[in-house]
Formats: sequence, structure tokens, C-alpha cells
Amino acid sequence: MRSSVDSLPMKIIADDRPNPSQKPPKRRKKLATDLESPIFSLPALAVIVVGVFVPMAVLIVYSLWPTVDQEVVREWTFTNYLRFFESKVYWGTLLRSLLFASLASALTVILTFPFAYFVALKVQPERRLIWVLIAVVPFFTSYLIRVFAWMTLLGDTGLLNQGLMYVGLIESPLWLLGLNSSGIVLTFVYLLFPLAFLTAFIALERTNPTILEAAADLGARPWQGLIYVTLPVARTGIMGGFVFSTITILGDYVTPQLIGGTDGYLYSNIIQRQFGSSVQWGFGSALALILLVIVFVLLLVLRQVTGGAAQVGTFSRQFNPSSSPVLKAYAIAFLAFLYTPIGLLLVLALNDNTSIGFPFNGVTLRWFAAILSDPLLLESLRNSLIVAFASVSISVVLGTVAAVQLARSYGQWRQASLAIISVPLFLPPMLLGLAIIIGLNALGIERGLWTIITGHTILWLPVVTLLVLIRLEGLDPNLELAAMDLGAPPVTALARVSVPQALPGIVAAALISFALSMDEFILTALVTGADSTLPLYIFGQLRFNVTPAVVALSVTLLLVSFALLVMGALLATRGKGGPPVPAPNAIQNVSQ
Amino acid sequence: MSVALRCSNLSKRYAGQQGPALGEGGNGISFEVERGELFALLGPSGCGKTTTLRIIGGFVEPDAGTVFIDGKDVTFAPPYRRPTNTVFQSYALFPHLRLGANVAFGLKMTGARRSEQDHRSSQALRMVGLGGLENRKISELSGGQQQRAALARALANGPSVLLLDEPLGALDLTLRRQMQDELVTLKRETNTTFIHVTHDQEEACAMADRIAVMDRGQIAQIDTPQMLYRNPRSTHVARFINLGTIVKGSTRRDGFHARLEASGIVLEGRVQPTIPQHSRLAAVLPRGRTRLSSGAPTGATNEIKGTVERAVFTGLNHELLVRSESGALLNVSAAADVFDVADKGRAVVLTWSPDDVLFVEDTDDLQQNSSPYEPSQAS
Repeated sequence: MRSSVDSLPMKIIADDRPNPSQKPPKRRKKLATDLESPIFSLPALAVIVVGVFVPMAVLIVYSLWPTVDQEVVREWTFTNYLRFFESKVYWGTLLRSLLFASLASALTVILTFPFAYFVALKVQPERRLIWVLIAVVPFFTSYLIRVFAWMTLLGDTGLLNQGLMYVGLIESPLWLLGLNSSGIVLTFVYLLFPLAFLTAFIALERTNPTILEAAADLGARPWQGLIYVTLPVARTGIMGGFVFSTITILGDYVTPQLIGGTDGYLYSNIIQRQFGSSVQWGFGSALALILLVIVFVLLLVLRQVTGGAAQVGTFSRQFNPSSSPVLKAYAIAFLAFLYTPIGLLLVLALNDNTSIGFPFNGVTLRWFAAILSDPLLLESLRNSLIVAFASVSISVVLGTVAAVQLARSYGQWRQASLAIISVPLFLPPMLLGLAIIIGLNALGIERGLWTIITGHTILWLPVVTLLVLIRLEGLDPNLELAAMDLGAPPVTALARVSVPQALPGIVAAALISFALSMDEFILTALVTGADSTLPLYIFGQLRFNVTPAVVALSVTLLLVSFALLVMGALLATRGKGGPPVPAPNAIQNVSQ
Repeated sequence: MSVALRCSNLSKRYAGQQGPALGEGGNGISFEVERGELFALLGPSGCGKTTTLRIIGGFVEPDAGTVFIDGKDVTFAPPYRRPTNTVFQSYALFPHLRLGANVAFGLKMTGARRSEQDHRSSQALRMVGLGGLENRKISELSGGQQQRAALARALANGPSVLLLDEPLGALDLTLRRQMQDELVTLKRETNTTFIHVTHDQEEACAMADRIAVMDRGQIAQIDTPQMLYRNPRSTHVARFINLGTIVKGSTRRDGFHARLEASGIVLEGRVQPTIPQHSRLAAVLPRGRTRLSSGAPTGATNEIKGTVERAVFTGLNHELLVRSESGALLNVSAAADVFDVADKGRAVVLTWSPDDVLFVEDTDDLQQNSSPYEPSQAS
């Protein structure tokens, strides 16, 4: 290891004064301990290749085999695909699902954009993080519990319709607030808000605010500035939010049915049924592959319309935003929309009423105590914790090691590795789950808790790798060079200089993954054997009877995961490389 | 000549900031700019020059005062209803549009026909030397080209007043010199009024017809570059244009002349006629007008004895830092052929003719500087 430092000056001397009688010093051998060695990112790559690419290949093979008497027969045929195109039930549902998903996503993006615009361009820089946190906090509640909140709010007897009728604003229940297609759209707008918000916010926040002034200066009225400058510049974020929302909806086989009943029977439900009660694995694989192709097409479209608008030149954050009362009112109304279901959950968790709902009989904490007396719930909690600990630990170790290597590599290896590791981020978890169970089925392996751990590892590995990589690349590369210049071998430089600097990023990635793991349902439900996790338990309750203890549990989970995520966010932003954010006075001083 | 821009009594205070950014109380800033004039706002950061520019451009509303452009009150008109265009410090080129579309943007907003857009934007691009590059992406342009692109975009609209916010700050020295010349030429060719914000006194001198030196939200002096250097009004102006050494002491004024005594030296010189009778005065010893000798002191006025503390040869001059007998440091320049004095430790005598010693208004806070001498800037 020492040689890597020692050989450098020698090499320079050899280059400067060629001496024919002396053999040129040997190039230092590539040691396995060199951090540039691709060996370090191999474990992470292997997990993704074995866990995603191989099962996808099996999926393709299965889709070409017919199913006879619930058994896959090994004969090559296109019958599975023909069956899809022959029956309107299948392709009709797919078209309906596509239309539905894109409409719901478009609505989400349109409703979210003014809010993101307000936070990114009208809120003073030092208050932005607070606004972002406030906006995203409601999403630290369990996904299924949020769906449950909307189940309570919507419908003819739902709280919204009943409330509006009670105050006399309407006479009969509104279809818009019903447990139907409209309700599904409303619920998805709520569920997908953080995705659409964060993508639009990041795009807007990165743009030079002076270009908006430049547009006005050149004669653009505010609406012209929006159409000709703001929207085109933020299009990557807007389209990204739209495409990922659409992919999420297409892969969600739970929410539409819970909210909309038969209205919510979508393409994803057809796929899921092939692997459940119908036991049509071949046909199911074909349907899943068709979905996969659609996802690819969506991602390609995204790639085509976006990019190109790279930031030009340096810019300072000196910008005195004009206040906009209309946008501010909209933002506050939007926050009310985000917090209503959360407030409702809190009330329900504290309500001294054995059935969930109203009337409100006074405050009790007994539902929180009841959490501890349900053995199945405790068992599920235990399983969830095991899965989260195991999958996050593996992801953190493999992801960090891979990130350390990727941060130092460049060129095609890096591009290819990053692309491979990121694949799970772009696929609906449903497809990942299906691929895993098909892979296991092909190998004849029984499912168990460990299959859930594997699935979660595949999901969190890219999250950890990318978060740590971003952090590592934000560090000044000269720090490590300085350490080596002072005599530290590469591994010591890494351990003593880079890792301590990257630690907040690693911890943040671990906390975020842990919170996500405790809440994962879509993939877990597919790959589980007989084991229950917390989300699976909650799902069982949603389908039959929801006890107030579940609501109390979800409120507890909200508080815990909120604490974890805030810790993660604070760690991730603390002491980041680069100049400190200037105080408001400093910003204005610069602008004069 | 007609007045293109008139600012009267402008003041501005930003919320959450100590002190006003511009003007104070009812005492705002006022100035007039003739059509076709290149008017520079010069001052250190925080002096209010950018705030003034932003008020003229319509990005900031003043708390008080009015802005007239071509005789019309535009104080509260939004930027898109003003005959002004701005070259932003960061250029603020639209990253999603190509060069041609960037330059044509303003014409598109006013609803000009497509053919006219194309015609006038390529004309503007040719004017700044970027003809034929319409289809370039902004990210493919060099820093200097981006600067020209921002200029072309602002000029394509044919503004009656062009606002330049430190437009050359990001360019290297050679390119900056070249752009200074080109901007002056462009101004002459288009007969547009330029308002140029800068903190670089050399740039202001090289380009401007008149310069307004700003200090803590007020205009300290408006003059042509020559007059500014010959007759700076205040210590702040003298210090900011790096004129020479400022000396303070007990002064006595006698009409257009004044006399200063401090730590054993006596200075005599002329007083700026515009300075009010009872103002505090300080003497300025312009660095370029210093006569250097190694002979014996005569004990006359306008003479300081000292030793060379540091000598820097700049190519044209020796810039010397001289420590006087009383221990103060003075900045002087000596012609390049004066070799014998340009050594460290050499005893020298500095003399000034009474015509070169300037008495200016002492605008510094009272407690500042306990020493009577103050080298304007150790170079």
C-alpha cells in the first residue's frame, strides 16, 4: 500500500531523465486494496443482477411457456401473448389503467406545481427547508394507513360528504368525494404528492432566479414568463414527477381496489390474480412483461423530452421575490389538504370508541396500550424490525463500499454500474416482487422471511448507494489527496478522512431506508411466505375490520419514522462541503 | 440633448435589514442622464449602486422618489412595461433556448412577426460579433460569448436605456479591456443610454462619460472621469478612486486655499470650491504627483521625510511605501527611471507642489483613524 505513494516521485524522475542503462521502475501493481478496484462494487452489482436481471430473464421464459392445469409446461409458444390481445378484458383494462394513471398523475402534477413553485421561488431560502419538511411530514405515516384515512373521508357516508351535508353546503353526497374512480384519483393525488412536489421543487430550486427577472425585463408578462421560461426550464422535474407517478399507479394493486371497489379493478389487479388465485404463472408473466415494456417506453419518453437545459454559468442566490398572496393562499390550502387525513387519524386514535369513526366519546390512550396486547400485531412488528434491520444493514454495507469505488471511477464502467444498480428505482415494486417469486419458483425454493429481506435489500441498495455517492462526490477530492500527501495510504485516507465526512450521508441513507422498509407493502405482500409484517397485518385489518389499536399503532409509527427521517435529513444536510449558506442580510448586501 | 433618465429623491430600505440601502430619511438620491450618455454608478459593495439599477429596471420599488424615462413616470411600472433592458451580472441567459431564441425572446414577447424576430436578432448578434451562431446552445458558448449574448439580447429590443450590472466582472483582464472598447463603440453606434454599475474605478474611467461615486446609499460626487481625479470632493471619493495618501490634522481654510499641520509637517494646497465653508477637511497627496529626492530636507512646506519601506516595480512606475519620520505610511509612485531611490531602506524626501495637494471634505466617521496619515491602498 505504501508503494502507491512512494512510486509516484520515482516515476516522475524516470520520465524526466531517461537513463538507458537503468531499467524503468515497474508500474505499481494494481492491488486488490486499491479503492479504484471494481471488486468493491461487485457485491452490489451481483445483488441486483441475481435479484433483478436473472428473475426478469426467468419471467421472459415463463411468459413463453403455457400453463396447463396450474402447472407450467415447458413448450415454447406465444399463446400467453395471444390471449392478452384476443380478449378485450385484458387490453381494454390496460388501456383504461393507462388512461387512468396518466390522468391521475397529470392532476397530481398540475395541483402540486403551484405549491412547489411557491416554496422554491417565493419562500426565502433560509425558510425553504422548513416548508419542505412541513409538506413532506404527512408522508411519514404508513402508506396503507393514509389509504385508510381516505377510506374514512370518502364515500356517501364518508366524513367529507357527511360534513358538507351537515353544514348544508350540499344536499346529497357528491360523486367527486365518493368511493369510486374520482375518489381513487383524489387519494392518488394525496399519496403521490411528495414525488411530484420534490421533483418539481428540485428543478425549480436549481434554476437561476434571475432568468425570471430577465424574462420580465425583456417584456414577458407574468403568464408569458411562466409559459416561455419557468415551465420549459422545470420540465425535467415536471415530466419526471408525471412519469414516476404514472409508473407508481400502474404498479399499485392495492389502493385502487381499497378505495374504488370494482371501479378500482385495474391492470395490476389482473396481473396479481394470475399469481394468486388463478395460478396462471405463464400468462401472468406475459402480462407483467407487457407492463414492463410500457414502463420502459415511459422512461424513454421521459429521457427524450427532458435534459438539455443544463445550468449555464454561475449565479448567486440574490433574489428578492415579490410576494404573491394568491400563491400563498393556495399553498396554505394545500397544506390543509395534506394535514386533514393526518389530523383525522390522530383524533381516531385518541377516540374512546370501540369502532372507528364518530361520535367522539372523549380522549383515551387505551388504544395505544392495546397495541401491546395483540400477539399477531407484535409478531408482525418483530418481523418488520428483523426485515428492516437485516435489509438495511446489508444495503448499507454493500452500498457504501460500492459508492466508495464508484466515486473514484469514471467512464463506461461507472456509467454501466450506476445504471445497473439504479434499475430497482425505476421499476414498479410489483414487477420486482413478481420477478423474485418466479425466480424462487423456478429454483423450487420455499419462501420465508429471508425472501422479504432479499426483496427489501434490492429496493434499498440503490437508495443507499446513490445517497452515499452524492455525499462522497460533494466532498473536496483534495482532502483525500492532502491526507495521502501527509503520508496516509489510500485506505487510511479513506477511513480517517472520507468516511467520517460521508458518515452523515450513510446514516441518513440508513434511516431513510429503515423507515421505507417498515412501510413497504407492494413487494412484501408478493414475496412473503407465511410470515406477516406490520404493513401486511394492517392490510389484513383494512380488508376486514380495522381496530382503533391499528390507528394508534400507525400514529406511533408516524412519530417514530418522523423522528428517524428528521434525524436523517438533519444529518444529511449538516456540515455539507462548500461554503455555508449566507444569512439573509448577507444575501441582500451582495445584491446592492 | 434631451434627458433620457431622471431619478429624483430615490430611497429604499429592505425589510429585515439594518439601515437604508439607498437614501436616508427624506434625503434620497437624484441624478439625470442625457440621451446617448454612458453613466457609471461606481462604489464598493453595499453602497446602493445595484439597488439604484434595480429600481430603474423595475425589479425593486423605491420607498420614495420617482423614476422618469423619456419624460414618463415609470416608478411603479413592472419591468415588462419599461423601455429598459438589463445585462445581468450572471447573464441570466435562458438555458432551455438556443442563442438565436434567447436574443429573439424580447421581440417574441412584444408579438413581433417571426421574420422580424429572426432579422433583428441576427442583426443584434452580428453587432456583438456572434453572427451565424444562432443555433448554438447556451452551454456551448464560452464566458465571453455568453457575455456578448446577454448584451445582444438586451439590445435587440432597442431599449431607450440599457442597464449593465457589473457586466464584465466574470471576464479575464484582456477580454474585459476588449469588451470595454466594444461597449463604448456599441453605445455610440446605437445612441442608447447606458447605465453601468461597477466597482472597478479603472473600468468606469475607461468607459463612462460621467461617473457617480456612491457611498453608503448616497451619491458622493457626479463628474467626468477627468474632473473626478482632478477634483475629488471627499475622502471617500479620493480613497475609492485610489488617488493617493490622505492626511488629517488641524486645518485652516482661506478661501480656495488651506493649510494643514500634523506631526511636524505642514501641507498647503487648494480647496475644492464646491466644498461648504465649515466642512471638516483632509489633505490628499496624489501618488502620481509626488516628487522624490534623496537630498537633504529643506524644512519647507509640502515636504515629508521618510525611508522606503517597500518598493514594487509595476512596469511603468515604482510603487513605493514610504514610512515618514512620524511613523506613518505613505503611498507614492515614482517614474520608472528613478532607480536610485527605489531601494528598501533608502532615505527619501517627498515634496508636492501646492497646486497638487488637494483639500477635500472629510466624510469619514470621527473615530476612524487615529493616525493622521492613511495610505490609500498598499499596492
